Amino acid sequence: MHTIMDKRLLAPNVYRLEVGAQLIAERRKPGQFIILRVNEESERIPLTIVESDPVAGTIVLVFQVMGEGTRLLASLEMGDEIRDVVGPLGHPTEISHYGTVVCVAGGIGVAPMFPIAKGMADMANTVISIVGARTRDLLILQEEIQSVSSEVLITTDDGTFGRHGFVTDALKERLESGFTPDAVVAIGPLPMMRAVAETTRPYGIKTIVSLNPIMVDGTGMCGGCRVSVGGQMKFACVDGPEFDGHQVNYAELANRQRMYRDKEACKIRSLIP
Amino acid sequence: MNPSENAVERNPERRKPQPARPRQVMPERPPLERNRDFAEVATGFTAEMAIAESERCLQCKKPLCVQGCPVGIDIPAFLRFIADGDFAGSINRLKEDTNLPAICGRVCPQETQCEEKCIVGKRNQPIAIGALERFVADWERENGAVKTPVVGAPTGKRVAVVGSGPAGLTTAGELARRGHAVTVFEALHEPGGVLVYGIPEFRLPKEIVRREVDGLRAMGVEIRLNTIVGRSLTIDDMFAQGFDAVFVGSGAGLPHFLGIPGENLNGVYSANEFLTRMNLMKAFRFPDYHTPVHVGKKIAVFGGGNTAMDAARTALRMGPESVKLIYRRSEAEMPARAEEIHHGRDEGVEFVTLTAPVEFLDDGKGWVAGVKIIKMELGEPDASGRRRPVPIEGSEEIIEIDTAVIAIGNSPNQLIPQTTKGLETTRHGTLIANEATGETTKTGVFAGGDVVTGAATVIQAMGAGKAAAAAIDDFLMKRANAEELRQYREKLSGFFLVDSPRRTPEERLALLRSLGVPEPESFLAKRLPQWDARVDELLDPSSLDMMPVHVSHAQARYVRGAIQSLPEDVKARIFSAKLGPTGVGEAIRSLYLREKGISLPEDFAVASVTLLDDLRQSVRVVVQDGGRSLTVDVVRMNADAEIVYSAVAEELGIAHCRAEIVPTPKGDKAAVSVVPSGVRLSDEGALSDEYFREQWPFLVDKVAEQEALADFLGTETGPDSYTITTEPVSVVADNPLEMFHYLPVSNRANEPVFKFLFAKALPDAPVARAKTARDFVVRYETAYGAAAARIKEHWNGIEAALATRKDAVESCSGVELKEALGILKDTFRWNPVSRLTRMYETCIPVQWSAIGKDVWVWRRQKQA
Repeated sequence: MHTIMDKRLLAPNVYRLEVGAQLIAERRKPGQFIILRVNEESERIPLTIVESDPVAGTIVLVFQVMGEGTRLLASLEMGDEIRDVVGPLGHPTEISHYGTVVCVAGGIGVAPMFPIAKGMADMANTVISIVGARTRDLLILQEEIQSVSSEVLITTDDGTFGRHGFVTDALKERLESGFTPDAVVAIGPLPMMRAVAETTRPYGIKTIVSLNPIMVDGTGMCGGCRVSVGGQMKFACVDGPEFDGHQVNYAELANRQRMYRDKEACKIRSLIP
Repeated sequence: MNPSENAVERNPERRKPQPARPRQVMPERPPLERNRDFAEVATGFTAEMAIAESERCLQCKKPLCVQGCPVGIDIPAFLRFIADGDFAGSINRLKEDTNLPAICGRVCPQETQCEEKCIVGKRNQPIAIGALERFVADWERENGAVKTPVVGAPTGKRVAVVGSGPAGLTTAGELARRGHAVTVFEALHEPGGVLVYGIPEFRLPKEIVRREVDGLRAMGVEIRLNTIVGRSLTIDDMFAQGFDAVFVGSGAGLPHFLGIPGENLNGVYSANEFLTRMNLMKAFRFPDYHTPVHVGKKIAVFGGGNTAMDAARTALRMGPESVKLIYRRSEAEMPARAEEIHHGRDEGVEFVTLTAPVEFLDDGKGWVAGVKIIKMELGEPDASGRRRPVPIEGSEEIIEIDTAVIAIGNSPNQLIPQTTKGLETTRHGTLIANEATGETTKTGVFAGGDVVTGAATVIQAMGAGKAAAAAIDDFLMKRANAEELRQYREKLSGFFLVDSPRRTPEERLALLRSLGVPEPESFLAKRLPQWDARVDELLDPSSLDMMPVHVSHAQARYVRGAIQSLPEDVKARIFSAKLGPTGVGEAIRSLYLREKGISLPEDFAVASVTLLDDLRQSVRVVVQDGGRSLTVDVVRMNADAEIVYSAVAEELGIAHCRAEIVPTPKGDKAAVSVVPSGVRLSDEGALSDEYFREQWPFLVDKVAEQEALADFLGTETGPDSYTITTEPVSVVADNPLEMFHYLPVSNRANEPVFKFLFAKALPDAPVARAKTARDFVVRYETAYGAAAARIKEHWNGIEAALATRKDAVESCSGVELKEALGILKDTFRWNPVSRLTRMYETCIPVQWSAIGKDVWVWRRQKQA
């Protein structure tokens, strides 16, 4: 059993949990994730590990309430237990000295981006972060990302904070002005990652995206998280979750992510008395 | 074994086997009722049916069914208990051989294993062994009669088992029984591996798996869920954390896909995903359980194995319009069990054979709408021996489907080999491991099950787990022996201690001084309580025996370690002090008188004492008298050993083998004989008479073979000394009874350890103990296999040579000999071969078990 040591609301429907998981806290590296199961009936939910404290034996998870699974998770309070937490899963991010790295994060993608940006900064990279959100209220972890970046560009879709527009607008502008980073890391909603990859493609800049397909076991057993990367079938859980953004078949992945949309609705209906 | 109080009925007298009686058929729920729910299909035998069925068993003396069982269950034994109505006795007997009977009884392919070999099946239908196994296992559970197997005394060794599937659970249980501390690491949130995520509820209720796992927990096995080896921790971490060995039973969990267009469309599943969602995540109870699964109206399952059947029958239970099972060969080639195919068909699965998928078609919204297939015909057999399917050109068709499940096989996950240095794989991704022992390319790491063989059956995995557990035990204890001995020697070098609750410190000091132990005070200061009492016993002249009688092997090692670390003269003094009033002392004196013609004084001097090996309970002493000395071996033995000892000596007519067998005051016996023409026997301990009758002819045969071999090879070997060249050891045996050395010394040396373990692990189960002892001997045979093969080659030469020298056989013909053999067999209860040796000294027939035929061999004229 894994106790919730701390729970905070970061933005509407976006929560930060600190969860007791000694072994995972000791071993995890940036870019890795866990799978949790709230109780006997619930689904297995993959979530990226944002931070960890090996001494306290805790890991930090940030999630947005999307479906029934995350709603159930959000209903837990400090001191409650999560039945199962398994990890760390997936390959860690390839953190090395690239030179200049642009970290593009959309929505709650900032959360998983933070440890990567921090790792990149620790490796003496110049980190430029581009953070986007739908609206001002949804911007999270601003201080944290600021602390590891030499420059932070903020965009909101509705213009309530920072630059009005998408993260790709900011990125594109920079690239067009002759700026050529050595690597770009993008984490966020699939259309955003796809747009970032398309933006960098003409410049041939190494672009890493972190994929979040539907998963069951997270150990390579079910193949539910299969994605096409460069025409090859890859399992995001064991081969990823990070892949070359220029090679991913986004349309297929987007389609697969919609697979249980009707079931999700049915499930939520069934739970409303 | 006591008959159970719960026994239904106890037959007063054993009935005659009724093989011709029709085989009992396990009741099944009607197909059209059961295909709507997930409850179990077959409901099991009633008590009456089970008794009736087990009465059909012939109780063969050499049961072939046991050979057909990958884990070697003594099938006639547990069937016999059922026939007696003693179900408790039956399950207890069964559980001596298997940890998971309720599971095996359900999912084993008995028709190609035990039941295929059943003799009754040659003329009638074979005994329903699987159904009977299931019956007694269920009986135990339903009657609350579950008994936790006896666990051996803790060895202090820790073993990590990776994966809680059939291989892992079996290994864990077997190791726990042997007293090792076992921790099982499971990646998922429930233990059982494929038993919980793969095999559906209606074929194997998960409650049964849970019970079996609970049984292991009750034996002290720790199960760590949600731990992915290779990510959460690595195998190297495990060794760093103090595990002494690791067993990898991580299975074959990486699904194969077809590699055709459209495979990533929505609605296309791997069988693993489909079954995991259904079984492990209980998607069939959606939305009460939150994990969804998509089962449309028209389902196609691709593949012909048990997993494909499971997927098809699972899909059927979700109430679709149709479930098609599409397979590229014909039904005859399907790898699935016949019973599963039959179940699937009855329940309404449509079989579409000789058909292969070419492409999945999109409905325009990203979902699968159909599959383009091509018809196949069977061509030449391929590497697997099955006829290769060849596409028929132009036979493409489209089958409308909205759900596809791909069940064409799995290969092992590469996470563990990728993260473990030194662990090598084949090009198929399976771990390289010794088939018999599970040893991998990394020391201390063993593996078994699908991770080694690729996708196979539950029982094969269990068989591999059982074999690996034996090998791990061997590995641990051997290493333990060497390592502990080294430690004790280290500890003991430089000091020696004496302690006993009944001795005062002054007495101890005086004793130590009298024995000439240097710095006795410092020894007493450094006391190690766990072994001091034993050493005291050793030192105590009134204990009258070189080795304490009732000591564990570990304690025995302490004592022997102590003896070895003593200066030679101190050792000799201790020994002579102990010898004075014992029968052993008398025996030595009488031998001395016989050999040297001189009567020794009662307090004769012992010049040196040597332990013959680390573990055997025997010592070699040199007795000195003036300028003369005599070397004598002293072996402790019990009554059984004495029987063998004297019988062997007599049978072989070896006068010089005669030793003095004397009772010691502790109630056991010691054999004392002169070296080198003396006899040294290993103490065969608590093993039964029956055991010796079984084993003894084997040993005697070996004697004859060796002599023959020596003659044939023209080596200069006499009855006192044979040069035996065997792998991996070459030894010179100083008399024929030293045939023990025919077997690798390292194995023999472990014998007391194993015996100790047998007795500890199974104090109340003599049958199991005898069987374990038997298995142990079988292991000897295995170890001896390489040597046997070499000697077999020599035998061919011997036979050829004999063929040319047949006229030299003067005393009798082969026919006469055979007759004589028969008479002797009736006259004497022992194997007559050696009797014959005495009557016809020029020629003896030997049946060599290793090559299974009679051969004629020369034998040198023996000395009187």
